[in-house]
Amino acid sequence: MADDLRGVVIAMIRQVLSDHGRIVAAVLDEQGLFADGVGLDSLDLATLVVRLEQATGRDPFRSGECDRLPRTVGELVSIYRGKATA
Amino acid sequence: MLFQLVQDAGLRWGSSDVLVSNSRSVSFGKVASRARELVDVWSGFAGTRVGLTAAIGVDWLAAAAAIDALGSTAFLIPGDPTAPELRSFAEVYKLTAVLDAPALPTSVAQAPWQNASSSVVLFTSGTSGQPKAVLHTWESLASGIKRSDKLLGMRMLLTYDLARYAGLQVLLTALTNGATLCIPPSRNMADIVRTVIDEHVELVSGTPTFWRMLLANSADDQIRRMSLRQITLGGEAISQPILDALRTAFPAARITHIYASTEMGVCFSVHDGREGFPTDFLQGDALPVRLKVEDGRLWIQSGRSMAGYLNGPGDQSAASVRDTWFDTGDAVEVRGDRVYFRGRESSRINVGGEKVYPEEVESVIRRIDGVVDVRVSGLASAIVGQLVRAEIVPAAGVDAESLRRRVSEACREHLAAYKQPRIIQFVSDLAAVGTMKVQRRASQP
Repeated sequence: MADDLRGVVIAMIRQVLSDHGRIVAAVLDEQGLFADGVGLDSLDLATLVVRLEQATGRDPFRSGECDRLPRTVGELVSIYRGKATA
Repeated sequence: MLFQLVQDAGLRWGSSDVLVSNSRSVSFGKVASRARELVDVWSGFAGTRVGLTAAIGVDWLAAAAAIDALGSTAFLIPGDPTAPELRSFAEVYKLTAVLDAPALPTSVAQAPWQNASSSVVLFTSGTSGQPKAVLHTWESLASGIKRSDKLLGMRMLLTYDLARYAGLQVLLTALTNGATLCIPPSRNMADIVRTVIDEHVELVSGTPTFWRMLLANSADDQIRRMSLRQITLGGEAISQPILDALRTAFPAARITHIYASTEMGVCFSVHDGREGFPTDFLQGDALPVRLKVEDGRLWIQSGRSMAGYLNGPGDQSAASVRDTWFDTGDAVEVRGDRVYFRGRESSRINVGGEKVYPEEVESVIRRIDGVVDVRVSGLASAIVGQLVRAEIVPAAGVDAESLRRRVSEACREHLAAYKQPRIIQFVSDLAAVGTMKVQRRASQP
């Protein structure tokens, strides 16, 4: 189940990037989300969060579970996992 | 004033039809005599507040005229409200009665006298935000109505709710000029197309959304069988593509776009087939209203405006706005000899501090093949405030994935990154909620 969630997050990251015609070879947990890593900007992250809400039914940023933006892919996955294990 | 208008029309055009619906009709003479009957039995309504809904049917006009003659205030309730909604409405606005069925009361007990001058309360469509109660008189509503012998016997289509400002303009035009108002049996586009053809409708006033849906729902041979002589657009931003599409479909018709609002009344109309309006309108006394551009927005001073907003329950002492400058909330831009509309301030989307007018994004998407209509709105985001979302009505048989790709490509080509819709959804219609205006509300996903 947890790995499914990781798969969903990574698939959505790829989709948001491919909206700009960008393709990434591998997305790793320790990779940064922003310019130093996969290259999302704040609009991309906001888009990603809306699409993840459509896929998972949750927005941890709006519901206040998360008061700080994630820096890495792994941190983003664990934010979504947070509720799943609670 | 409405009562007098109805009586005059009854004398002049007695047996001609004023309303036609579902092959039933009612004549000018019949409306006039029915209004007199109602005045006789409704003395108890005198000087009070009475609500009217469309459910009254053909007697709606006679009832409104009778209420006017009794020195009462008519509250024109739009849409198709439920019984509990009507009860709370009556309570909030302290109405003596709400008339919402074809069977009208045959006698009314005396009520305490409240006010002696008749007025009309109507509601803004709430395109952006909550509907507001707007206080008018029949005089202010009728002050922009054109009188022309050419309109005598002309057949007009009612595309608006009668309880709205635009619907009342169409009704008062028919009543003042001896024209016939054709009411489609439903809001279904196939019914509307059939009514236009079968009733030989010559004059149609509608929103751009209405016209786009009419064109998309009419086959070429149906368009050819329509006898439109006057096409009027209003109520929403008018962009060049819809003017061009109507010009191509109806080469013989005169095409007019009108700038009006429930609050300010009819301000001006444009006949040259181009979006926006000439900068000449900003100077001198070319118009019955005065216009100026300030802070990038259009301001209007009008003697045809409402008396004011009804400031909450039981209060008619609304601040008068007549003959004062009124901020329309429409963002405009002057380029060359033309003033162009950029969009409504209140529908502006804020993406991480950058401002986006939905109208600009919509006009890019609407030019794409396979798009029937589109609504752009803000989607709440905890990260950037709002994201731009596009809801698109695709043409029949269009492949969704390829359309999505073409929409993204066109937006990337024509719009800055923050203006590009990040969320693209396909929908079957834009749920115009009875006004044929696109509803703009920022929403949760």
